[in-house]
Amino acid sequence: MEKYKNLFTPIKINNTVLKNRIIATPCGVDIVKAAKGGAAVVITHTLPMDYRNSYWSNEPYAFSKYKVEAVKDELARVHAYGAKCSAELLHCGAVVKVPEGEYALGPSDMINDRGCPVKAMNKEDMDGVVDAYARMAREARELGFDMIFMHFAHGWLPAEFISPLYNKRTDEYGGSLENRARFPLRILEAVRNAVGKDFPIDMRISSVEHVDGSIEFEDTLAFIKMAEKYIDSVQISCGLDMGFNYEGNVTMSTTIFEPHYINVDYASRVKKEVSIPVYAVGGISDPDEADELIASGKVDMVAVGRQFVADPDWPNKLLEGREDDIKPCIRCLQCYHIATEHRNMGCSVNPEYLHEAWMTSEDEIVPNKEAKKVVVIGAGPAGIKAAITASRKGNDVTLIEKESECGGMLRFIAKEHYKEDIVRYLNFLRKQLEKSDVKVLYNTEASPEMVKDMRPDHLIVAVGSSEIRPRIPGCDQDFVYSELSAIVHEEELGNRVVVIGGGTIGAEMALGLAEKDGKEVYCIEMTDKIAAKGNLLYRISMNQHIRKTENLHIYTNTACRQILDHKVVIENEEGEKQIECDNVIVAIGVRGNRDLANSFYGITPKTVIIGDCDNVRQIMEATLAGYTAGLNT
Amino acid sequence: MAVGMKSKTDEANSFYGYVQDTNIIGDANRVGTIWNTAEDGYYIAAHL
Repeated sequence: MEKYKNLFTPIKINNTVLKNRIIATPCGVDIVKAAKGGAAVVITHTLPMDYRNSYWSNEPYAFSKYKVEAVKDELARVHAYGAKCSAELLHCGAVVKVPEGEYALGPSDMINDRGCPVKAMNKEDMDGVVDAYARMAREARELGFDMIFMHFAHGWLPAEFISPLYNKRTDEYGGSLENRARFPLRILEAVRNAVGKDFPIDMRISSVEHVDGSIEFEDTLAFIKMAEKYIDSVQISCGLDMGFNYEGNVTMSTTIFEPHYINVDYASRVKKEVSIPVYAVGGISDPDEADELIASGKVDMVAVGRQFVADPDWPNKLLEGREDDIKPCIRCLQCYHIATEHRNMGCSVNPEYLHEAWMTSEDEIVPNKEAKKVVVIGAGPAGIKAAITASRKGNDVTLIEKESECGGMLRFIAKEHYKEDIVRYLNFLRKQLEKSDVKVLYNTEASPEMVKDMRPDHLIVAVGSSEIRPRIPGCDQDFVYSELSAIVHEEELGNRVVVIGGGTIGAEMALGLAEKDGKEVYCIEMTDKIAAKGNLLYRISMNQHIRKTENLHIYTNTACRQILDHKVVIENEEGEKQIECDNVIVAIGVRGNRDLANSFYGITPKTVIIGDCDNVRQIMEATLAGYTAGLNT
Repeated sequence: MAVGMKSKTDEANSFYGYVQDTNIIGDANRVGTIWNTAEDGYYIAAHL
């Protein structure tokens, strides 16, 4: 394996050798699939420990008689694929939601974001938590786990003691870093004593928490040095997982507005100061980038989360020389329950995710005994997925596309700022289409008559959406662009731009033009919320960037009345105002081509409408609809 | 003398690095029961 030799070189942690440098992190990842897919180590999801309110809703102890067999079964399945399994030990501390009359434990008294009381831990509480950690670690080793993963990041209990954000104590456990470190170090010492000196202990920690008043990197580094005698490797993360209105979540699980591998620079600085292996997590999804991070000596390993959701087989695909077949994570965060506010979870590129119970896996598609003739109209993300899937079912598939290239709306989105991951996904779809047996008719506008003559058994209609043209006086002037034409002709835009419409596309465009290109940008939105259809963390992340971009001016609850000569007239509760500009971008969204799609009914009873023409939604819904439509052929 | 057994960890580890699909099973991985060794051997061989 010459190309990715750095990723696939074994490394020794304590006296355990890992077969490669790829660690699957617990972020909704199916750890058995990640093990099967080639990860060297999979880290379990949180294993609730046996101490009061360490986890949500009085979850029983993970190794209690009610749960231990399930844990052991999962462990056996991980081992069956040759991966090491690391047991995540985590006390959630001050951020948990507790039943009425109960209290959460933390370093200091407070009321948490869920409205629950938090009690400052006394000596008895500390002894109990330390014992619970030690017992769990000992039992994890006895059960056959290969490593212990000490989660000291993201604002969980140990991090709450280390960080001044939560720790307001004035006793020997608060104040100076030495004091704040005292209790977390007691936990580490107890765990080391419980598992013995020859058993690997890994620790995750946040370099910084990205919230005002939180820990400084220098303190984190100093803590790691104090902890080094108890641990065998350290994973560098950042941010918070709960609390403080999720402002720290958007760096813990990066959105598209943050760069890839956000924690590597900090990890690299840690690596220079310690003698144990150091690795980073956070936005590492591109195998070439991951290999280079190790090759450059910045980190010793990589921890990967969402890419394992997108494609659990990605390490094995690298080993087999199938890079083109790796479904790339687009960091949409739909797989993260907090981002989606526990609604509409899934994966934009992996339709099986969370549907495993009923959906045929892409690896298990069985070709039909008799090939059927399938026609797919429209080569956007839904249409391509449907065509490829129908082809894998052994059908004779024709994909009709009116443009000269495939991709649909993704062709435009991929040209925007913050969309490097969409570029990868578009390239993935294009390569998959090239490798398939699908016949693609480019530059061909499908009509019902034409499709009828093709006599399809199955017809899948994915004719997409069109821009909504507003009824704003003056919007037909030559300095006014539609959102798609503005993306294509961005170089024509002047330095003062008004974007009418603060939906996801309009707001992203406004932010990109201001933050990346330095233009003076005004974004006009009729509702009270910017990017209302984006998920929670996407919106938080976007707003963090908006707040930092002084040359971006957001007007919510504001209507655009008319467009004069290089002036936009807006109106809100403060009255009417004119904004001078070089260009206007009208970005009020798209509407599904429903009438066009409906016109294809009646050719074959097996007709299905998918993607934006059915309902304008996100890539995730398009992929799911395309995959299931293809499966049903 | 009956002070127990110790895994031949170092010897086992020395075989890493030749092929990616390398597994250490049985007592070399951890000194356990016949059940553990049977489970290791069966599941890993079955999933190759």
